[in-house]
Amino acid sequence: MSHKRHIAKAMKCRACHQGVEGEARASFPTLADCMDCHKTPQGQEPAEPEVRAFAARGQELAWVQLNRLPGHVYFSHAAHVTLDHMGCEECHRDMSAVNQALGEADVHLEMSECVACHRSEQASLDCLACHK
Amino acid sequence: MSRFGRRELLGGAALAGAAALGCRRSRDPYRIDKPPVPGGRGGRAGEERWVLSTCALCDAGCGIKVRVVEGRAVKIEGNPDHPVNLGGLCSRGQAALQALYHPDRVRSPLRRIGARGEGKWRPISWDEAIGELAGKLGKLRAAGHPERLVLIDGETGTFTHDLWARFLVAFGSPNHIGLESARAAGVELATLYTQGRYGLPACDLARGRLLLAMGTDLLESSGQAMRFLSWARLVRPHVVCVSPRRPGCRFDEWIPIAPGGYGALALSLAHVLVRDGLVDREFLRESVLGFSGWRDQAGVEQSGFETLIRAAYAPDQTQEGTGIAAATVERLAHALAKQRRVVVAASDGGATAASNGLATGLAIAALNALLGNLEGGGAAGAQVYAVPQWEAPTVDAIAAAGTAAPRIDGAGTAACPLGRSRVQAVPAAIAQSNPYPVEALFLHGTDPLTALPGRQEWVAALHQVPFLVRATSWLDESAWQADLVLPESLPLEALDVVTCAPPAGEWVVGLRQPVVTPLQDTRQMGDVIVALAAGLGGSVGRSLPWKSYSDAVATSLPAETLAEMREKGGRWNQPKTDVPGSIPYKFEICSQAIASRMAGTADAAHASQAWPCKGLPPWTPPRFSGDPLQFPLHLLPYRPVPFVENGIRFLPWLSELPLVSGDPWPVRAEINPADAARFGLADGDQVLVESPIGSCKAVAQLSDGVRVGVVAMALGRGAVVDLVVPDEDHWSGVLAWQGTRVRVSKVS
Amino acid sequence: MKRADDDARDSRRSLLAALAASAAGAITGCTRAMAAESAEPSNAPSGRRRNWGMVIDLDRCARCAGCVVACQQENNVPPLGPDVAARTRPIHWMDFLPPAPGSFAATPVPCMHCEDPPCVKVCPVGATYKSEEGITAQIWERCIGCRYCMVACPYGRRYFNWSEPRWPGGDPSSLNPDVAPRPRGVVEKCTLCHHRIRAVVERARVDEEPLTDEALRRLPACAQSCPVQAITFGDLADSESEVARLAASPRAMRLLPEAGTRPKVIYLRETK
Repeated sequence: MSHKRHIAKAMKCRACHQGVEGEARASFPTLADCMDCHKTPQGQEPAEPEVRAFAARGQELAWVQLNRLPGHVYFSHAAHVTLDHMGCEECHRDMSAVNQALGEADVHLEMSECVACHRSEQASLDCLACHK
Repeated sequence: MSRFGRRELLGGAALAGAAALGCRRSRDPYRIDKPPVPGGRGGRAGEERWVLSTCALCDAGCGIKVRVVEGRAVKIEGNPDHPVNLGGLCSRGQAALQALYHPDRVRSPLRRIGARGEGKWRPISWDEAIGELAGKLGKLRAAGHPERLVLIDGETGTFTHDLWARFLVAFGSPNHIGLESARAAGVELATLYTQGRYGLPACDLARGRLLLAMGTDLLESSGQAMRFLSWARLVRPHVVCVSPRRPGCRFDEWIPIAPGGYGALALSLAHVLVRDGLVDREFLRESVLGFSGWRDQAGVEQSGFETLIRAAYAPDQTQEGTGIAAATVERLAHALAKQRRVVVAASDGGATAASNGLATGLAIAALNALLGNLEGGGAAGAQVYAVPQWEAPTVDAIAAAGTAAPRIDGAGTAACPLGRSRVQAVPAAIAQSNPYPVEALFLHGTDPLTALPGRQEWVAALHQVPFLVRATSWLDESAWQADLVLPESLPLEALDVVTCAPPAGEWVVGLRQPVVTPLQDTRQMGDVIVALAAGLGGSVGRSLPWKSYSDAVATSLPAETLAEMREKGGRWNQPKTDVPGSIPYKFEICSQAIASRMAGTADAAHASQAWPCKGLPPWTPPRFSGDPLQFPLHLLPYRPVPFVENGIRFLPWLSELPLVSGDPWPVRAEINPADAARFGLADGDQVLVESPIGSCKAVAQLSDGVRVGVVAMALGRGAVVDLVVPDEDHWSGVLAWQGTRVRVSKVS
Repeated sequence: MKRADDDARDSRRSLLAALAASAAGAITGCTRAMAAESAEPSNAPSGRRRNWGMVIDLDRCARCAGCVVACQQENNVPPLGPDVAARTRPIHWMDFLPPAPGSFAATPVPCMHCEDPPCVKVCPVGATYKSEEGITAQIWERCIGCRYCMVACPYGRRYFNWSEPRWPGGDPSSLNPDVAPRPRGVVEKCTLCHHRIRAVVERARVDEEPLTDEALRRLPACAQSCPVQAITFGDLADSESEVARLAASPRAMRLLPEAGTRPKVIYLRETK
């Protein structure tokens, strides 16, 4: 799965990570989402027919979530992306250069960084805004 | 804690530690947001959904919705659109998740390799298990003795239950033995004989304003409890609770009745209503048979209930039997008559669980009829069960001969002329090979060793049966004795169609949907039955021709009905129209069905001479086991708020509910302070409760919420059930849960 | 038999006044400082601050204890098991006060989320504080387990984790991912299901829909589960809300008013 190729086709992050605008979790695409485009071959990538093979077997893609929040932290993509108009790249890597699925977690935030931004943006500093 | 170290679980602690040591950017130790979970099959990262289903923790069939996060069920809530519970859910239904993820679940079929009860097993495959089962049962049929297979089936109201019935018809055994006699048969048979349909009475709660609750568990733990709770949301009913024990749930008035006195109270109330002309004359004239004089089917004039009730049961006469002052009965009767819109309801396990169970059930039903409660005002009609629309099974000559054999529990015979099922008679029948030897016993949905009294007899019986199969989710005590253990999927993993608790004027059918994929190598019972039938082949296989249980369900109801049920979690608001009544009247106080069933029995002569009304077994004072001098107290085994048949041991949240003060775990013997003083007991004392057949350690709890002369003990824990002498009502086979005397002594 | 903590609870009451007096104003946790800095307006109508509260109608409550299990499931509260339960009291954020002798009235008691919470004043590390919207919050990670707050609370609504949480069989599958489990050595308490509040508030903002009182009334897990809808939740600062309307009922009462804590969990007396 090459992020680069997908982005090169002018796809937005939200096309696959559909929860990013409306939900707390950005979420991963279902195989059905993939098949919206990949029903027919989309290029010469050797791995690409695998998607259709999965679909033929009725099997879901086993995405591995690498960016995991600490257990006591709540983070909402919807609140940051939709309500506060932040871009994905403000926390995540620039994926347009990544020619594969993410190999390791790319977000390494400290609470101090969260607080600094919340303070400068006059966002809530109530503990309960982010802790659970 | 074996598989998951504290780090994964307890991110918070790890964080504190990491911060203190100044470990920057070492986040891995505390990523516990979603623990890696074995049950996560079928779930996608970040996926969250709600699945509608039907609760299975009691017979009520509340609608539930289950939150599933990444394939794991994490929360159960009530379905707000469901007519039984309107979005609420009791503690039991919510605790079901603890059963689902319980560590002691059986993970695969097991074959016994040691001695019985030794607990040595070999895990086997399902194919092997079904093969063994089909082989053993096939031999029974080949030998021409299919009736020697006995099924004890603790489940009711599901299509799985109907599938079992169908299997047994095709196989050739009459022995489909349910637990009704140990549960609600006293009420359900009364509904059958007065209104022509077996089941709980359906209460028209929407218009009721007063509830006369007979037995505390009606409010606390019966299949009807949630119905009453939902009702209390819409109307604030006045609740009068009649029971030797004060309920733990809300009520407005508590009348501490003597054990076994419910029928006398109902008849006494009826007496006052008749005497003072407070009955619903029009309803009695139009729709009730047997209130005044009536002609039976032979055209003979018979005396009616009115004559009987006028002649006896005045409140001052029943005072001794009920322990209730005559003035209280007079006041209550007038309150019932004044309110009009009342519901008189008997609990499943309390009011009729005595040696006079059926007569008590009939007396309470008759009281509803006198008040005109059957149409509009209060209790109306009876529960209507959904029936799968399968074609008739194929029955060969062996099966026909087998099903024609008498049932081993004697229900419907001279031993129990008016009963439908009598599970407590099974151990003796096995021990005596009467009427024939039992070669194979299949236990499904109940563990008789923990759920039913008469433990020693049960243990001996289970040992005597050559082939014992236990379908269960846990290695419970009877599974421990089994030759073959079949791990059953839990309701949150399985598909089924369920008849829900009875609202009036409509029927509610719930759908149970698999919420998660089975966590272990378990199967739902329907699939086992279908596979077993296929393994047996022949006419049995042809009668159950489906590939799987979901296939069977798909053919059981019209496709659009099932589709609607999948979407809503069930189907309701269907007017109750075409249910054929077996009787021309809406209500028979004097039951023609009872009259005709009694005609051919050994008791026929007795009934025609000694019964004051034909078709109405007379109420008799309750019988108690145990010498009153040696055992001075009455035992009241009750079903507490979190009572789950066989289950509470597997649901620790329920065991820890804050319903008692202090440590919630020990077994308690609730006793009136007056009795405690008499026997030298103090609150918190360790005591031994002894009955003629058993004993149980407990902690004494002094409570003015228990009638003098009564010891109340919650069922579901400890050896409480072993105290109960399995006496029964002769007519109906109803188990006399409340018919045992005990003594309580301090353990030093 | 009294609960192990009952004695402590009784003695707490007398302690309370003294504690409240000495502690008032003495503690300024960083949380409070941060909260004061926050300038983001609450998204409540007309920009005023919400003040979450709850009304429990004892006349409706059937004491079925459905709320107790709902709370435990929602908030990842583990059962203790017989061994531990014999030595301490089981953790019930939503608990039942046992009936006094001779009466039946067991009372469901969550945290009172007091207007003037004594527990907040005694916390030496600012782990417990009053949130912007009136929740007496506790941040588990900050708690050092000193248990001053347990002594201060006149209602006994705080629980100490004497042991590691144990899920049946060690299988945490049914844990709610929205609530962090608490480790041994910290105090825990009712949060008014703030994670559920946060979710609906955010949902309303994202969808640009007004957040109606109706959507809030049964929001906490206990209120959602209640078969008789005896529990009503909402914004006490919104005079139009159901919870504010009920709180003004002549049947309204508060537990231990003499403690001066001004609870925001308000009871409606039983009618006779």
